[in-house]
Amino acid sequence: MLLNQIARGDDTASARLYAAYQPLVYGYVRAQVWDDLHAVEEIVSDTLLVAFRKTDAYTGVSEFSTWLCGIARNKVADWRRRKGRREEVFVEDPDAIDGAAAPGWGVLELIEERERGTALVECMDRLPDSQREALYWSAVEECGLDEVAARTGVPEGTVKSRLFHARRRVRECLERAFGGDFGGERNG
Amino acid sequence: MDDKAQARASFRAALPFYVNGTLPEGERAEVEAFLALDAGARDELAFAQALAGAARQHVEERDPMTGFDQFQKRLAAARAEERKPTKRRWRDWAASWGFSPALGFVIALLGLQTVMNLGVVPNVADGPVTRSLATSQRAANLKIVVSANASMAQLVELLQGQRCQVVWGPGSGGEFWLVVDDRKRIDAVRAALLRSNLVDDVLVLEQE
Repeated sequence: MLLNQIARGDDTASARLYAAYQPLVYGYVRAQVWDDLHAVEEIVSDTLLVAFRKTDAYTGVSEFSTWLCGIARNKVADWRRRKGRREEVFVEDPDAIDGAAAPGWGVLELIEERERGTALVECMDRLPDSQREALYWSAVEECGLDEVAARTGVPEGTVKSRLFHARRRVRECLERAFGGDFGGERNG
Repeated sequence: MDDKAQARASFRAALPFYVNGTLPEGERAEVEAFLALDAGARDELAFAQALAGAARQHVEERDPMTGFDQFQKRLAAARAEERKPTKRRWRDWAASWGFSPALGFVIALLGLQTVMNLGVVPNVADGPVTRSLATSQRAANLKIVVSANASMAQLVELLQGQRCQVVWGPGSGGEFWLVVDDRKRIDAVRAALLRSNLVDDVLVLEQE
């Protein structure tokens, strides 16, 4: 196994595992630390260093990628503590996906096509960490509901709620930025 | 919540997984049925697709080996640190605390002494102490107190007669520490010395 080879100091094995998981760890950290790319690089390197030095700590109970992201999550928390940042507390209500019709979903039509990506990213950056993390696993890693729940350690209902609220927050952010007036929510 | 609102809530919960293609077939059909009936849902789908696309863009394409050279150096340094001899690690540790190795050693010694004083390390003085004497006295079997009027010549004759050897003395009170040639004779020698008027007292010393 690659981990055993790494523990014995095999550089080829280190390079193979690094290539396989570095982009994933980067993506995971980048989705949480959005405004300091230098910190992202540092956290990614720290995470992989811990993993490669303590290969025997991986018991195989979870997937290797989940274990890596657990280390990365701790490193991000350490970074936040050092920077004096607090994670935004967002209390989810698993039943909070309302069924009211909302006309605002057409807000993107108000934005020029070439500006849409940037506008969406800027609004995503304002999401609470928990929502951005759920969005990362579902949209970037294309995980199923059960997998997102397992990776984030919350019930499936909470994942659904986080993703819906993330979507609604981004929409509201765009409405504020681009002056959309869709007459508010209405019952459908 | 009426049926339409209930269906819309279910649609919204399933939407991210419809977009990423992980929704089970049955639920996928339900989502598509709802989309066919509701124009607002189609707008929401387009929004969700745009959001997922932006999220993927957000996490830029990354060369798998980005940063590997620097990482490898860090890993090698960390491994070298683990393989350092104890003496070297000690010196580096002392230096990391701002001590010279010698000062660090002195501090460590003081720390050890403190631990001993606190009783964490058993103190030898707490054991079965028999005497507190110089090294040469530790071999003695007997301690005698010579009477004030005894002459050295008489004493030498007495001790030679009992095959004893003086290993230390005289002390300030006229004490001499003696070794008997055979340990089995200690009691007999003690009795003989006590009978002599040259000796005021005889003490049998325990051996360690």
